[in-house]
Amino acid sequence: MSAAVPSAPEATSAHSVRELRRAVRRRWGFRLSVLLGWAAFVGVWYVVSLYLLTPQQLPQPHVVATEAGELLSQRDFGRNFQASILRVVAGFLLALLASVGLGLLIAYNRWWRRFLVNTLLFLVSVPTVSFAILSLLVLGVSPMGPILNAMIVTTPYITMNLAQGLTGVDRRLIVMSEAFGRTRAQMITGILVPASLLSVLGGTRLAFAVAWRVGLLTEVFASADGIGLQIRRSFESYDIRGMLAWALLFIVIMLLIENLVFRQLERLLSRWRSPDGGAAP
Amino acid sequence: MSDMRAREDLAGLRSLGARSGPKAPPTMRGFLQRPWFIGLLALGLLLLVWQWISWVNLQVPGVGEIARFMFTEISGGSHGGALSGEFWAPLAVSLQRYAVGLAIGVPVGAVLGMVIGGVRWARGLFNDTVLVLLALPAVVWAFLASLWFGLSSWGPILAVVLTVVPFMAVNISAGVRNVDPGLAEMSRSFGVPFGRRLHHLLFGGSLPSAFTGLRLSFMTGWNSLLIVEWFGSTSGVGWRARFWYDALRYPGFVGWIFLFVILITLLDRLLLSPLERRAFQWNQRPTLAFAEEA
Repeated sequence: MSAAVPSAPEATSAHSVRELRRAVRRRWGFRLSVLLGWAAFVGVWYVVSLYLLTPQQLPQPHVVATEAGELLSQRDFGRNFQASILRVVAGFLLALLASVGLGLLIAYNRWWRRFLVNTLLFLVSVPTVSFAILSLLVLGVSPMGPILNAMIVTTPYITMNLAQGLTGVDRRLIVMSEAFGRTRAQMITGILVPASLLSVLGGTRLAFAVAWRVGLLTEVFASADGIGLQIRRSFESYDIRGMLAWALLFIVIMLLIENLVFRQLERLLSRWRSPDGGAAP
Repeated sequence: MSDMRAREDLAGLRSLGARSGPKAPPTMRGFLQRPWFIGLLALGLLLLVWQWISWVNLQVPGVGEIARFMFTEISGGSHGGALSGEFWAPLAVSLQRYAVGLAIGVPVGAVLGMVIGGVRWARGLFNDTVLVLLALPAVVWAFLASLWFGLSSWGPILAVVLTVVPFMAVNISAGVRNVDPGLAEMSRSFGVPFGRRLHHLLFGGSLPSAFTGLRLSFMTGWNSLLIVEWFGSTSGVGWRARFWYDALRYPGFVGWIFLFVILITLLDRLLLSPLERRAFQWNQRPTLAFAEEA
Protein backbone atom coordinates (compact mmCIF):
# COMPACT_ATOMS: atom_id res chain seq x y z
CA MET A 1 0.00 0.00 0.00
CA SER A 2 2.78 2.42 0.94
CA ALA A 3 4.39 1.78 -2.43
CA ALA A 4 1.71 3.96 -3.99
CA VAL A 5 2.59 6.98 -1.87
CA PRO A 6 5.70 8.39 -3.64
CA SER A 7 3.78 8.93 -6.86
CA ALA A 8 1.38 11.26 -5.06
CA PRO A 9 2.56 14.89 -5.45
CA GLU A 10 2.06 15.93 -1.81
CA ALA A 11 4.31 13.14 -0.53
CA THR A 12 7.51 14.49 -2.04
CA SER A 13 8.58 16.64 0.90
CA ALA A 14 11.91 15.63 2.42
CA HIS A 15 10.32 14.70 5.72
CA SER A 16 7.78 12.24 4.38
CA VAL A 17 10.34 10.71 2.06
CA ARG A 18 12.51 9.97 5.06
CA GLU A 19 9.53 8.48 6.88
CA LEU A 20 8.76 6.38 3.89
CA ARG A 21 12.32 5.17 3.58
CA ARG A 22 12.31 4.19 7.19
CA ALA A 23 9.07 2.27 6.73
CA VAL A 24 10.47 0.47 3.70
CA ARG A 25 13.66 -0.33 5.56
CA ARG A 26 11.68 -1.70 8.48
CA ARG A 27 9.57 -3.84 6.23
CA TRP A 28 12.64 -5.27 4.49
CA GLY A 29 14.30 -5.75 7.85
CA PHE A 30 11.31 -7.76 8.96
CA ARG A 31 11.37 -9.88 5.81
CA LEU A 32 15.06 -10.46 6.32
CA SER A 33 14.44 -11.59 9.89
CA VAL A 34 11.77 -14.02 8.67
CA LEU A 35 14.24 -15.41 6.16
CA LEU A 36 16.90 -15.62 8.84
CA GLY A 37 14.40 -17.41 11.07
CA TRP A 38 13.81 -20.10 8.48
CA ALA A 39 17.53 -20.38 7.85
CA ALA A 40 18.10 -20.73 11.58
CA PHE A 41 15.38 -23.36 11.85
CA VAL A 42 16.95 -25.48 9.13
CA GLY A 43 20.43 -24.76 10.47
CA VAL A 44 19.54 -25.85 13.99
CA TRP A 45 17.99 -28.99 12.55
CA TYR A 46 21.27 -29.77 10.73
CA VAL A 47 23.34 -29.10 13.84
CA VAL A 48 21.13 -31.28 16.02
CA SER A 49 21.10 -34.14 13.55
CA LEU A 50 24.85 -34.03 12.83
CA TYR A 51 26.35 -33.17 16.22
CA LEU A 52 23.85 -33.63 19.04
CA LEU A 53 22.23 -36.80 17.75
CA THR A 54 23.13 -38.98 14.81
CA PRO A 55 21.63 -38.75 11.30
CA GLN A 56 19.90 -42.04 12.06
CA GLN A 57 18.16 -40.50 15.04
CA LEU A 58 17.26 -37.28 13.31
CA PRO A 59 17.73 -37.29 9.52
CA GLN A 60 18.87 -34.02 7.95
CA PRO A 61 16.25 -31.73 6.41
CA HIS A 62 17.16 -32.50 2.81
CA VAL A 63 16.85 -36.23 3.47
CA VAL A 64 13.38 -35.78 4.91
CA ALA A 65 12.39 -33.49 2.04
CA THR A 66 13.50 -36.02 -0.61
CA GLU A 67 11.69 -38.78 1.24
CA ALA A 68 8.53 -36.68 1.32
CA GLY A 69 8.92 -36.02 -2.40
CA GLU A 70 9.24 -39.72 -3.07
CA LEU A 71 6.17 -40.45 -0.96
CA LEU A 72 4.22 -37.87 -2.92
CA SER A 73 4.98 -39.62 -6.20
CA GLN A 74 3.84 -43.02 -4.93
CA ARG A 75 0.31 -44.36 -5.13
CA ASP A 76 0.56 -45.14 -1.42
CA PHE A 77 0.36 -41.50 -0.55
CA GLY A 78 -2.81 -40.86 -2.49
CA ARG A 79 -4.58 -43.81 -0.91
CA ASN A 80 -3.64 -42.94 2.65
CA PHE A 81 -4.24 -39.28 2.21
CA GLN A 82 -7.65 -39.90 0.74
CA ALA A 83 -8.59 -42.22 3.59
CA SER A 84 -7.53 -39.67 6.20
CA ILE A 85 -9.13 -36.66 4.64
CA LEU A 86 -12.43 -38.40 3.91
CA ARG A 87 -12.75 -39.46 7.54
CA VAL A 88 -11.93 -36.04 8.85
CA VAL A 89 -14.42 -34.41 6.51
CA ALA A 90 -17.11 -36.94 7.43
CA GLY A 91 -16.58 -36.44 11.15
CA PHE A 92 -16.52 -32.75 10.60
CA LEU A 93 -19.82 -32.72 8.73
CA LEU A 94 -21.45 -34.84 11.42
CA ALA A 95 -20.16 -32.41 14.03
CA LEU A 96 -21.58 -29.52 12.06
CA LEU A 97 -24.96 -31.22 11.99
CA ALA A 98 -24.91 -31.93 15.71
CA SER A 99 -23.79 -28.41 16.53
CA VAL A 100 -26.70 -26.81 14.75
CA GLY A 101 -29.08 -28.50 17.19
CA LEU A 102 -26.90 -27.98 20.23
CA GLY A 103 -26.10 -24.39 19.32
CA LEU A 104 -29.79 -23.53 18.97
CA LEU A 105 -30.49 -25.09 22.37
CA ILE A 106 -27.66 -23.15 23.99
CA ALA A 107 -28.70 -19.90 22.42
CA TYR A 108 -32.40 -20.06 23.22
CA ASN A 109 -32.90 -22.20 26.30
CA ARG A 110 -31.49 -21.36 29.69
CA TRP A 111 -31.51 -24.82 31.24
CA TRP A 112 -29.98 -26.48 28.23
CA ARG A 113 -27.37 -23.76 28.12
CA ARG A 114 -26.18 -24.62 31.60
CA PHE A 115 -26.27 -28.32 30.99
CA LEU A 116 -24.56 -28.27 27.61
CA VAL A 117 -21.96 -25.62 28.37
CA ASN A 118 -20.66 -27.54 31.35
CA THR A 119 -20.70 -30.83 29.50
CA LEU A 120 -18.95 -29.37 26.48
CA LEU A 121 -16.31 -27.70 28.66
CA PHE A 122 -15.64 -31.05 30.22
CA LEU A 123 -15.45 -32.68 26.80
CA VAL A 124 -12.84 -30.16 25.68
CA SER A 125 -10.61 -30.98 28.63
CA VAL A 126 -10.59 -34.72 28.01
CA PRO A 127 -7.17 -35.76 26.66
CA THR A 128 -7.70 -36.71 23.02
CA VAL A 129 -5.58 -39.80 23.42
CA SER A 130 -8.27 -41.33 25.66
CA PHE A 131 -10.80 -41.07 22.86
CA ALA A 132 -8.28 -42.60 20.49
CA ILE A 133 -7.52 -45.55 22.75
CA LEU A 134 -11.13 -46.11 23.73
CA SER A 135 -12.19 -46.30 20.10
CA LEU A 136 -9.68 -49.10 19.71
CA LEU A 137 -11.62 -51.09 22.30
CA VAL A 138 -15.17 -50.11 21.43
CA LEU A 139 -14.99 -50.00 17.63
CA GLY A 140 -11.88 -52.04 16.98
CA VAL A 141 -9.78 -51.34 13.90
CA SER A 142 -12.33 -49.58 11.73
CA PRO A 143 -12.75 -46.34 9.81
CA MET A 144 -15.53 -45.39 12.22
CA GLY A 145 -13.05 -44.57 14.99
CA PRO A 146 -11.44 -41.52 13.39
CA ILE A 147 -14.80 -40.30 12.12
CA LEU A 148 -16.48 -40.53 15.49
CA ASN A 149 -13.55 -39.03 17.37
CA ALA A 150 -13.22 -36.16 14.94
CA MET A 151 -16.91 -35.51 15.49
CA ILE A 152 -16.79 -35.71 19.29
CA VAL A 153 -13.79 -33.47 19.61
CA THR A 154 -14.87 -30.78 17.18
CA THR A 155 -18.51 -30.50 18.22
CA PRO A 156 -17.77 -28.27 21.25
CA TYR A 157 -15.78 -25.80 19.18
CA ILE A 158 -18.36 -25.45 16.44
CA THR A 159 -21.26 -25.40 18.88
CA MET A 160 -19.86 -22.63 21.02
CA ASN A 161 -19.15 -20.50 18.00
CA LEU A 162 -22.60 -21.03 16.63
CA ALA A 163 -24.16 -20.19 19.98
CA GLN A 164 -22.04 -17.07 20.22
CA GLY A 165 -23.07 -16.03 16.74
CA LEU A 166 -26.75 -16.61 17.48
CA THR A 167 -26.73 -14.74 20.78
CA GLY A 168 -24.89 -11.89 19.12
CA VAL A 169 -27.70 -11.26 16.64
CA ASP A 170 -29.12 -7.76 16.83
CA ARG A 171 -32.50 -8.13 18.56
CA ARG A 172 -33.83 -4.99 17.01
CA LEU A 173 -33.61 -6.60 13.60
CA ILE A 174 -35.87 -9.40 14.80
CA VAL A 175 -38.35 -6.99 16.34
CA MET A 176 -38.41 -4.95 13.19
CA SER A 177 -38.95 -7.89 10.91
CA GLU A 178 -41.76 -9.08 13.17
CA ALA A 179 -43.32 -5.66 12.91
CA PHE A 180 -43.11 -5.79 9.15
CA GLY A 181 -44.71 -9.22 9.12
CA ARG A 182 -41.83 -11.33 7.87
CA THR A 183 -42.22 -15.07 8.15
CA ARG A 184 -40.03 -17.18 10.36
CA ALA A 185 -38.23 -18.69 7.38
CA GLN A 186 -37.43 -15.26 6.06
CA MET A 187 -36.07 -14.20 9.42
CA ILE A 188 -33.83 -17.23 9.58
CA THR A 189 -32.41 -16.89 6.10
CA GLY A 190 -32.26 -13.11 6.22
CA ILE A 191 -30.98 -12.43 9.73
CA LEU A 192 -29.86 -15.44 11.70
CA VAL A 193 -27.88 -17.27 9.05
CA PRO A 194 -25.82 -14.35 7.74
CA ALA A 195 -25.19 -12.97 11.20
CA SER A 196 -23.95 -16.24 12.65
CA LEU A 197 -22.17 -17.51 9.57
CA LEU A 198 -18.92 -15.72 10.17
CA SER A 199 -18.48 -16.77 13.76
CA VAL A 200 -19.33 -20.34 12.79
CA LEU A 201 -16.67 -20.20 10.13
CA GLY A 202 -14.15 -18.90 12.64
CA GLY A 203 -15.01 -21.94 14.71
CA THR A 204 -14.79 -24.34 11.83
CA ARG A 205 -11.28 -23.27 10.89
CA LEU A 206 -10.03 -24.14 14.33
CA ALA A 207 -12.23 -27.20 14.50
CA PHE A 208 -10.80 -28.49 11.26
CA ALA A 209 -7.27 -28.25 12.59
CA VAL A 210 -8.35 -30.09 15.72
CA ALA A 211 -10.24 -32.73 13.75
CA TRP A 212 -7.29 -33.28 11.46
CA ARG A 213 -5.04 -34.02 14.43
CA VAL A 214 -7.50 -36.17 16.33
CA GLY A 215 -8.14 -38.16 13.18
CA LEU A 216 -4.41 -38.72 12.88
CA LEU A 217 -4.08 -39.76 16.51
CA THR A 218 -6.94 -42.22 16.21
CA GLU A 219 -5.44 -43.64 13.05
CA VAL A 220 -2.21 -44.21 14.95
CA PHE A 221 -4.07 -46.40 17.42
CA ALA A 222 -6.88 -48.00 15.50
CA SER A 223 -6.93 -47.91 11.74
CA ALA A 224 -6.03 -50.05 8.77
CA ASP A 225 -4.84 -47.13 6.64
CA GLY A 226 -4.36 -43.38 6.66
CA ILE A 227 -1.47 -41.05 7.41
CA GLY A 228 -1.62 -41.88 11.13
CA LEU A 229 -1.10 -45.57 10.47
CA GLN A 230 1.87 -44.82 8.22
CA ILE A 231 3.46 -42.74 10.97
CA ARG A 232 2.95 -45.55 13.42
CA ARG A 233 4.38 -48.12 11.00
CA SER A 234 7.48 -46.01 10.50
CA PHE A 235 7.81 -45.69 14.27
CA GLU A 236 7.57 -49.41 14.79
CA SER A 237 10.22 -50.12 12.16
CA TYR A 238 12.53 -47.38 13.52
CA ASP A 239 12.17 -45.52 10.25
CA ILE A 240 12.49 -41.97 11.55
CA ARG A 241 13.03 -40.63 8.06
CA GLY A 242 9.68 -41.95 6.88
CA MET A 243 7.95 -40.77 10.04
CA LEU A 244 9.21 -37.21 9.65
CA ALA A 245 8.38 -37.24 5.94
CA TRP A 246 4.78 -38.23 6.67
CA ALA A 247 4.58 -35.64 9.44
CA LEU A 248 5.94 -32.99 7.08
CA LEU A 249 3.30 -33.80 4.49
CA PHE A 250 0.65 -33.77 7.20
CA ILE A 251 1.64 -30.28 8.35
CA VAL A 252 1.86 -28.92 4.81
CA ILE A 253 -1.59 -30.23 3.96
CA MET A 254 -3.04 -28.83 7.17
CA LEU A 255 -1.60 -25.38 6.59
CA LEU A 256 -2.66 -25.44 2.94
CA ILE A 257 -6.25 -26.32 3.75
CA GLU A 258 -6.39 -23.76 6.48
CA ASN A 259 -4.98 -20.93 4.42
CA LEU A 260 -6.40 -21.72 1.01
CA VAL A 261 -9.85 -23.02 1.84
CA PHE A 262 -10.93 -21.56 5.14
CA ARG A 263 -9.25 -18.18 5.04
CA GLN A 264 -10.51 -17.53 1.51
CA LEU A 265 -14.00 -18.62 2.45
CA GLU A 266 -13.89 -16.33 5.42
CA ARG A 267 -12.77 -13.40 3.32
CA LEU A 268 -15.53 -14.11 0.84
CA LEU A 269 -18.22 -14.31 3.48
CA SER A 270 -17.07 -11.33 5.50
CA ARG A 271 -16.95 -9.01 2.52
CA TRP A 272 -20.39 -7.56 3.21
CA ARG A 273 -19.27 -6.48 6.65
CA SER A 274 -16.46 -4.06 5.92
CA PRO A 275 -17.61 -0.92 4.07
CA ASP A 276 -14.66 -0.75 1.67
CA GLY A 277 -15.12 -4.36 0.65
CA GLY A 278 -12.35 -6.92 0.55
CA ALA A 279 -9.92 -6.39 3.38
CA ALA A 280 -10.73 -8.27 6.55
CA PRO A 281 -11.52 -5.99 9.52
CA MET B 1 -2.87 -19.68 13.73
CA SER B 2 -5.71 -21.86 14.67
CA ASP B 3 -4.59 -22.50 18.21
CA MET B 4 -4.54 -18.86 18.99
CA ARG B 5 -8.23 -18.90 18.37
CA ALA B 6 -8.68 -21.83 20.70
CA ARG B 7 -7.96 -19.38 23.45
CA GLU B 8 -10.76 -17.07 22.43
CA ASP B 9 -13.16 -19.89 21.83
CA LEU B 10 -12.59 -21.48 25.20
CA ALA B 11 -12.94 -18.12 26.88
CA GLY B 12 -16.16 -17.58 24.99
CA LEU B 13 -17.56 -20.87 26.18
CA ARG B 14 -16.62 -20.05 29.73
CA SER B 15 -18.37 -16.74 29.46
CA LEU B 16 -21.53 -18.44 28.27
CA GLY B 17 -21.39 -20.64 31.34
CA ALA B 18 -20.58 -17.77 33.65
CA ARG B 19 -23.33 -15.56 32.36
CA SER B 20 -26.03 -17.96 33.44
CA GLY B 21 -24.79 -17.70 37.01
CA PRO B 22 -27.31 -16.01 39.33
CA LYS B 23 -28.65 -18.11 42.19
CA ALA B 24 -31.98 -19.68 41.42
CA PRO B 25 -34.75 -19.63 44.07
CA PRO B 26 -35.19 -22.81 46.18
CA THR B 27 -38.14 -24.14 44.21
CA MET B 28 -38.35 -27.33 42.22
CA ARG B 29 -37.31 -25.50 39.07
CA GLY B 30 -34.52 -23.75 40.93
CA PHE B 31 -33.34 -27.10 42.20
CA LEU B 32 -33.14 -28.39 38.65
CA GLN B 33 -30.90 -25.48 37.78
CA ARG B 34 -28.33 -25.95 40.53
CA PRO B 35 -24.86 -26.47 39.08
CA TRP B 36 -24.16 -29.58 41.13
CA PHE B 37 -27.41 -31.15 40.03
CA ILE B 38 -26.58 -30.47 36.40
CA GLY B 39 -23.10 -31.88 36.88
CA LEU B 40 -24.49 -34.97 38.52
CA LEU B 41 -27.01 -35.38 35.73
CA ALA B 42 -24.27 -35.16 33.11
CA LEU B 43 -22.18 -37.72 34.99
CA GLY B 44 -25.14 -40.07 35.32
CA LEU B 45 -25.88 -39.74 31.65
CA LEU B 46 -22.27 -40.55 30.79
CA LEU B 47 -22.30 -43.67 32.96
CA LEU B 48 -25.61 -44.74 31.45
CA VAL B 49 -24.28 -44.37 27.93
CA TRP B 50 -21.17 -46.34 28.84
CA GLN B 51 -23.25 -49.08 30.42
CA TRP B 52 -25.38 -49.24 27.29
CA ILE B 53 -22.27 -49.56 25.13
CA SER B 54 -21.06 -52.40 27.31
CA TRP B 55 -24.37 -54.21 26.79
CA VAL B 56 -24.19 -53.81 23.04
CA ASN B 57 -20.49 -54.63 22.72
CA LEU B 58 -19.52 -57.61 24.84
CA GLN B 59 -15.85 -56.71 24.74
CA VAL B 60 -16.50 -53.49 26.62
CA PRO B 61 -16.60 -53.85 30.41
CA GLY B 62 -19.53 -52.45 32.38
CA VAL B 63 -19.36 -49.70 34.97
CA GLY B 64 -19.58 -52.06 37.96
CA GLU B 65 -16.83 -54.27 36.62
CA ILE B 66 -14.54 -51.29 36.09
CA ALA B 67 -15.23 -49.96 39.57
CA ARG B 68 -14.46 -53.30 41.18
CA PHE B 69 -11.24 -53.69 39.23
CA MET B 70 -10.06 -50.19 40.04
CA PHE B 71 -10.84 -50.71 43.72
CA THR B 72 -8.49 -53.69 43.75
CA GLU B 73 -5.94 -51.73 41.78
CA ILE B 74 -5.97 -48.74 44.12
CA SER B 75 -6.08 -50.76 47.33
CA GLY B 76 -3.21 -52.93 46.10
CA GLY B 77 -5.18 -56.17 46.29
CA SER B 78 -4.67 -59.22 44.13
CA HIS B 79 -5.98 -59.39 40.57
CA GLY B 80 -5.61 -63.14 40.57
CA GLY B 81 -2.43 -64.97 39.69
CA ALA B 82 0.80 -63.13 40.39
CA LEU B 83 -0.70 -59.76 39.48
CA SER B 84 -1.40 -57.33 42.24
CA GLY B 85 -2.76 -53.83 42.16
CA GLU B 86 -0.41 -50.94 41.54
CA PHE B 87 -1.68 -47.43 41.68
CA TRP B 88 0.42 -44.97 43.60
CA ALA B 89 3.78 -45.93 42.09
CA PRO B 90 2.81 -45.34 38.43
CA LEU B 91 0.89 -42.24 39.42
CA ALA B 92 3.87 -40.77 41.28
CA VAL B 93 6.22 -41.50 38.39
CA SER B 94 3.92 -39.87 35.85
CA LEU B 95 3.14 -36.84 37.95
CA GLN B 96 6.83 -36.32 38.53
CA ARG B 97 7.59 -36.43 34.81
CA TYR B 98 4.66 -34.15 34.11
CA ALA B 99 5.77 -31.64 36.73
CA VAL B 100 9.36 -31.58 35.50
CA GLY B 101 8.22 -31.18 31.90
CA LEU B 102 5.91 -28.30 32.77
CA ALA B 103 8.51 -26.68 35.00
CA ILE B 104 10.89 -26.56 32.05
CA GLY B 105 8.43 -25.96 29.22
CA VAL B 106 6.17 -23.28 30.69
CA PRO B 107 8.89 -20.72 31.59
CA VAL B 108 10.77 -21.30 28.35
CA GLY B 109 7.58 -20.89 26.32
CA ALA B 110 6.56 -17.84 28.33
CA VAL B 111 9.87 -16.06 27.80
CA LEU B 112 9.88 -16.97 24.12
CA GLY B 113 6.32 -15.67 23.80
CA MET B 114 7.21 -12.38 25.52
CA VAL B 115 10.16 -11.88 23.19
CA ILE B 116 8.13 -12.74 20.09
CA GLY B 117 5.30 -10.49 21.17
CA GLY B 118 7.46 -7.57 22.25
CA VAL B 119 10.37 -7.42 19.82
CA ARG B 120 9.75 -7.00 16.13
CA TRP B 121 12.75 -8.77 14.67
CA ALA B 122 12.31 -11.62 17.14
CA ARG B 123 8.81 -12.15 15.81
CA GLY B 124 10.17 -12.44 12.29
CA LEU B 125 12.87 -14.77 13.52
CA PHE B 126 10.85 -17.16 15.66
CA ASN B 127 7.20 -16.86 14.72
CA ASP B 128 7.14 -19.29 11.79
CA THR B 129 9.24 -21.83 13.66
CA VAL B 130 6.83 -21.78 16.57
CA LEU B 131 3.86 -22.19 14.23
CA VAL B 132 5.46 -25.21 12.56
CA LEU B 133 6.25 -26.75 15.93
CA LEU B 134 2.65 -26.10 16.97
CA ALA B 135 1.31 -27.81 13.88
CA LEU B 136 3.43 -30.91 14.48
CA PRO B 137 1.10 -33.47 16.06
CA ALA B 138 1.93 -34.50 19.62
CA VAL B 139 2.16 -38.12 18.60
CA VAL B 140 5.18 -37.36 16.41
CA TRP B 141 6.95 -35.70 19.31
CA ALA B 142 6.06 -38.65 21.45
CA PHE B 143 7.47 -41.14 18.96
CA LEU B 144 10.64 -39.12 18.46
CA ALA B 145 11.18 -38.72 22.18
CA SER B 146 10.75 -42.41 22.86
CA LEU B 147 13.07 -43.37 20.00
CA TRP B 148 15.75 -40.97 21.19
CA PHE B 149 15.67 -41.73 24.87
CA GLY B 150 14.48 -45.31 24.97
CA LEU B 151 12.77 -46.31 28.15
CA SER B 152 14.25 -43.64 30.41
CA SER B 153 12.20 -40.84 31.95
CA TRP B 154 13.70 -38.25 29.62
CA GLY B 155 11.52 -39.26 26.70
CA PRO B 156 8.23 -38.39 28.42
CA ILE B 157 9.72 -35.23 29.90
CA LEU B 158 11.04 -34.05 26.55
CA ALA B 159 7.70 -34.75 24.88
CA VAL B 160 5.91 -32.63 27.50
CA VAL B 161 8.42 -29.80 27.07
CA LEU B 162 8.22 -29.83 23.29
CA THR B 163 4.42 -29.74 23.19
CA VAL B 164 4.12 -27.11 25.90
CA VAL B 165 6.64 -24.55 24.60
CA PRO B 166 4.84 -23.59 21.35
CA PHE B 167 1.46 -23.41 23.08
CA MET B 168 2.75 -21.04 25.73
CA ALA B 169 4.73 -19.00 23.22
CA VAL B 170 1.83 -18.50 20.83
CA ASN B 171 -0.65 -17.51 23.50
CA ILE B 172 1.65 -15.20 25.41
CA SER B 173 2.89 -13.46 22.30
CA ALA B 174 -0.72 -12.83 21.30
CA GLY B 175 -1.37 -11.46 24.79
CA VAL B 176 1.64 -9.16 24.68
CA ARG B 177 0.61 -7.84 21.29
CA ASN B 178 -2.85 -7.11 22.68
CA VAL B 179 -1.48 -4.87 25.42
CA ASP B 180 -2.93 -1.40 24.98
CA PRO B 181 -0.32 0.59 23.00
CA GLY B 182 -1.66 3.81 24.49
CA LEU B 183 -0.81 2.62 27.97
CA ALA B 184 2.64 1.53 26.85
CA GLU B 185 3.35 4.91 25.31
CA MET B 186 2.05 6.78 28.32
CA SER B 187 4.12 4.83 30.80
CA ARG B 188 7.18 5.36 28.64
CA SER B 189 6.65 9.11 28.41
CA PHE B 190 6.04 9.36 32.15
CA GLY B 191 9.35 7.61 32.74
CA VAL B 192 8.07 4.48 34.45
CA PRO B 193 11.12 2.25 35.05
CA PHE B 194 11.56 -0.79 32.85
CA GLY B 195 11.10 -3.30 35.67
CA ARG B 196 7.74 -1.90 36.68
CA ARG B 197 6.63 -1.58 33.08
CA LEU B 198 7.49 -5.21 32.53
CA HIS B 199 5.62 -6.27 35.63
CA HIS B 200 2.47 -4.19 35.48
CA LEU B 201 2.02 -3.57 31.80
CA LEU B 202 3.42 -6.53 29.96
CA PHE B 203 2.81 -9.13 32.60
CA GLY B 204 -0.54 -7.82 33.75
CA GLY B 205 -1.78 -7.17 30.24
CA SER B 206 -0.94 -10.59 28.90
CA LEU B 207 -2.24 -12.45 31.94
CA PRO B 208 -5.59 -13.54 30.44
CA SER B 209 -4.03 -15.17 27.42
CA ALA B 210 -1.23 -16.52 29.60
CA PHE B 211 -3.86 -18.42 31.55
CA THR B 212 -5.47 -19.87 28.47
CA GLY B 213 -2.00 -20.80 27.28
CA LEU B 214 -1.35 -22.44 30.61
CA ARG B 215 -4.59 -24.35 30.46
CA LEU B 216 -3.96 -25.55 26.92
CA SER B 217 -0.40 -26.47 27.89
CA PHE B 218 -1.60 -28.53 30.81
CA MET B 219 -4.06 -30.35 28.57
CA THR B 220 -1.74 -31.05 25.66
CA GLY B 221 1.24 -31.79 27.88
CA TRP B 222 -0.75 -34.45 29.72
CA ASN B 223 -1.90 -35.82 26.42
CA SER B 224 1.56 -36.29 25.00
CA LEU B 225 2.90 -37.68 28.26
CA LEU B 226 0.25 -40.39 28.04
CA ILE B 227 1.13 -41.15 24.41
CA VAL B 228 4.84 -41.53 25.15
CA GLU B 229 4.17 -43.71 28.14
CA TRP B 230 1.79 -45.85 26.13
CA PHE B 231 4.27 -46.50 23.33
CA GLY B 232 7.67 -46.35 24.94
CA SER B 233 7.89 -46.70 28.69
CA THR B 234 7.86 -49.32 31.39
CA SER B 235 6.47 -47.15 34.15
CA GLY B 236 3.82 -44.51 34.65
CA VAL B 237 0.08 -44.35 34.15
CA GLY B 238 0.18 -44.65 30.36
CA TRP B 239 2.25 -47.79 30.64
CA ARG B 240 -0.17 -49.21 33.22
CA ALA B 241 -3.10 -48.74 30.86
CA ARG B 242 -1.11 -50.36 28.06
CA PHE B 243 -0.18 -53.19 30.40
CA TRP B 244 -3.80 -54.07 31.10
CA TYR B 245 -4.66 -53.68 27.45
CA ASP B 246 -1.95 -56.14 26.43
CA ALA B 247 -3.05 -58.49 29.22
CA LEU B 248 -6.59 -58.37 27.76
CA ARG B 249 -7.91 -57.14 31.11
CA TYR B 250 -10.15 -54.46 29.70
CA PRO B 251 -11.70 -53.24 32.98
CA GLY B 252 -8.26 -52.14 34.12
CA PHE B 253 -7.52 -50.54 30.81
CA VAL B 254 -10.75 -48.54 30.71
CA GLY B 255 -10.47 -47.71 34.39
CA TRP B 256 -7.07 -46.14 33.86
CA ILE B 257 -8.32 -44.15 30.90
CA PHE B 258 -11.13 -42.77 33.02
CA LEU B 259 -8.51 -41.91 35.62
CA PHE B 260 -6.59 -39.89 33.03
CA VAL B 261 -9.66 -37.77 32.53
CA ILE B 262 -10.39 -37.49 36.25
CA LEU B 263 -6.81 -36.47 36.99
CA ILE B 264 -6.69 -33.67 34.46
CA THR B 265 -10.13 -32.42 35.54
CA LEU B 266 -9.03 -32.41 39.18
CA LEU B 267 -5.85 -30.56 38.26
CA ASP B 268 -7.91 -27.93 36.49
CA ARG B 269 -10.38 -27.55 39.34
CA LEU B 270 -7.91 -27.66 42.22
CA LEU B 271 -4.92 -25.87 40.78
CA LEU B 272 -5.65 -23.78 37.71
CA SER B 273 -9.10 -22.41 38.51
CA PRO B 274 -8.24 -21.09 42.01
CA LEU B 275 -5.03 -19.62 40.63
CA GLU B 276 -6.97 -17.95 37.87
CA ARG B 277 -9.55 -16.56 40.28
CA ARG B 278 -6.80 -15.10 42.40
CA ALA B 279 -4.95 -13.62 39.47
CA PHE B 280 -8.06 -11.86 38.24
CA GLN B 281 -9.34 -10.50 41.52
CA TRP B 282 -8.34 -7.01 40.45
CA ASN B 283 -10.18 -7.39 37.17
CA GLN B 284 -13.52 -9.15 36.93
CA ARG B 285 -12.53 -11.92 34.51
CA PRO B 286 -10.26 -12.48 31.56
CA THR B 287 -11.38 -10.56 28.52
CA LEU B 288 -14.34 -12.54 27.32
CA ALA B 289 -15.06 -10.54 24.20
CA PHE B 290 -15.40 -12.74 21.20
CA ALA B 291 -12.95 -11.18 18.80
CA GLU B 292 -13.94 -11.43 15.18
CA GLU B 293 -10.47 -11.74 13.75
CA ALA B 294 -7.44 -10.11 15.28
